[in-house]
Amino acid sequence: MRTLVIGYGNPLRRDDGAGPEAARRLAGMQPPGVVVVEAHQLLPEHAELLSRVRRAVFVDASAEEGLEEVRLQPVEPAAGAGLDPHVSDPGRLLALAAELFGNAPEAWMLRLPAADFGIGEGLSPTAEAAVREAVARLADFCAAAK
Amino acid sequence: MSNRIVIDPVTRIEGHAKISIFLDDGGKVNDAQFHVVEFRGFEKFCEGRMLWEMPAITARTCGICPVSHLLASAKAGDEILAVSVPPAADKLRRLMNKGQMIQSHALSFFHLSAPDFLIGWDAPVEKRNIVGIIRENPELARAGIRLRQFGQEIIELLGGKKIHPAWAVPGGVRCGLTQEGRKQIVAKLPEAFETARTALDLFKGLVEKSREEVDKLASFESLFMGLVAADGAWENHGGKLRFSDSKGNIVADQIDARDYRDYIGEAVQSSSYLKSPYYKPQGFPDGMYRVGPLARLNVCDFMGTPQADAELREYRAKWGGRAVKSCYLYHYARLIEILACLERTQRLMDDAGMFSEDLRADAGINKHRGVGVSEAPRGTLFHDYTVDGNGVIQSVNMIIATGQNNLAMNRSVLEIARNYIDGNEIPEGVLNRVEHGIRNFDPCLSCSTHAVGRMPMQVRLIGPDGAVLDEARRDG
Repeated sequence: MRTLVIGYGNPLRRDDGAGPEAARRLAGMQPPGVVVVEAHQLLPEHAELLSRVRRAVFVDASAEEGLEEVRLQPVEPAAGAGLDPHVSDPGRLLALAAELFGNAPEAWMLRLPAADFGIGEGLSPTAEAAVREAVARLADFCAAAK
Repeated sequence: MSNRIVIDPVTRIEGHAKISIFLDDGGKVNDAQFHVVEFRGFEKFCEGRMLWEMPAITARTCGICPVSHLLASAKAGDEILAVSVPPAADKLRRLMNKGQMIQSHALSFFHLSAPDFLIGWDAPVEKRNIVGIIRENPELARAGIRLRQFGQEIIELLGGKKIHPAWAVPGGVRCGLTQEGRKQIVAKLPEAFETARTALDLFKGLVEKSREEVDKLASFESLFMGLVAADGAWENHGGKLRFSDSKGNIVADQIDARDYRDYIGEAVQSSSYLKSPYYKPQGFPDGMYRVGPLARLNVCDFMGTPQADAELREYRAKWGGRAVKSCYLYHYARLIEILACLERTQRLMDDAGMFSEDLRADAGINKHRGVGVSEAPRGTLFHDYTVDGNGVIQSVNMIIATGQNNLAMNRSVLEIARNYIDGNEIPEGVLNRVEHGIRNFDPCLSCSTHAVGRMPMQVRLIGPDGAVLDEARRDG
């Protein structure tokens, strides 16, 4: 497989579920040559999966104030960092993939604007719009990566 | 004058806690307490919910052991429906519990505890973590990650996802294991066995040279409790409760889960959100008992699978027979349990009865109270529900594994502090040994206080006049 897309977050904290929701919708499109993972959080076990692909995209809702559009930005391995099973950090996971499994793919973070991280299920209109855009951009990304 | 030493937060455990150590006027350890600083409130906010929602709700108690809550909750529901779950559903639930135990024990051993005994107690904290393991022994680190992954994949193959699978329900389970899923499990079993054996051999070698840790981290008398089968075999999902003592004597046996209140009391303490269960016939606090791997291996007569039984015989021969008392040997017991779970998983893969499509018994509300008990990785877990005629939850009582170890964790901290602290000088390695006293139990503190909340964290040594003598901060 050439590309890995990991959408992660907690679906019971409203817009925090945007990442896995985007992954779920992308998986439904069955893009060829792509592994799609929906996850509650990033785990050490994802490191081996990362080491086996050439490109990876992490998809997550962002609490950053002022973020109004879906933003794709590169992620580098965070050398020397520890791994806390409670903290989802793409940089640390990439470092683990490199150190333990010999390869860290070229990687990006797709950050989705979010408005509501309260307790409950379902996305806000902001997050729903972000997920729709994210899925379209991911589909294009995966097609271009063939 | 009395001084207090505080370790806050305790690192490399699941959840948030702090430890207070009280010195007397002579600088000797006088007392120690383990405080849990999270409040959850599950028992209260579940009132008014429907019985059928409870497995999914209570699974959210914890992201590390949701399966344990799922299974105990479903069993409480089984009681209320007054059904016997179909045999295939029982086997599938057992398989999921095996996956849970494998992944949780692997996390505890490789990620949370191994940095101490593989990197070294006195190594700098920035090296004494999973990254240190990766650098010291990358093959072991890889194997540990894969073993945990194997356990999680079993959970995912059954429940559809690794964390909070909505799968076990009152009366049975939602779906079975596919033949493709079976092939995946069978294909990965050999590597899992190899990792378990490697870890066992490693720890057995280490512990022979670690007599100091065995004695000082910490060894004391207590009762032990766990589930056993009717023939006394190690159990982790069915069976009945057994208590044994520090001489290896059985003090109470074949107790039905619904009668737990006759044997287990719960004391509330002001210094912690964690209740303290105790063995009622001996009162509080004399009725302190331990649960979890050490206790399960003490109370059972045998493991029931050949490799695990061979390991159990060796373990008992060297470390105390049917009353192994050292908390440090929780790690050893955990590894034997991983082996037992792998053997039983292999057995289930060859059991044609696993693949029946009869997975659920349907019924309405036939009783107004149900108690479900299952062995979580950390120990025995109870869900006790009462409902009205429509299945609306009226009350909930949950007794969590880690809570049952509360008194023992306090005792462990006290013993370790007494063994290593003398005066006001506290080297990093000693603080780490005190923390490790808690890690032995692999506590799950998110479960055991059934709140989302974080408190400011710092360590202070305070003199009798209130002056701060020393201050340190530990990051989580």
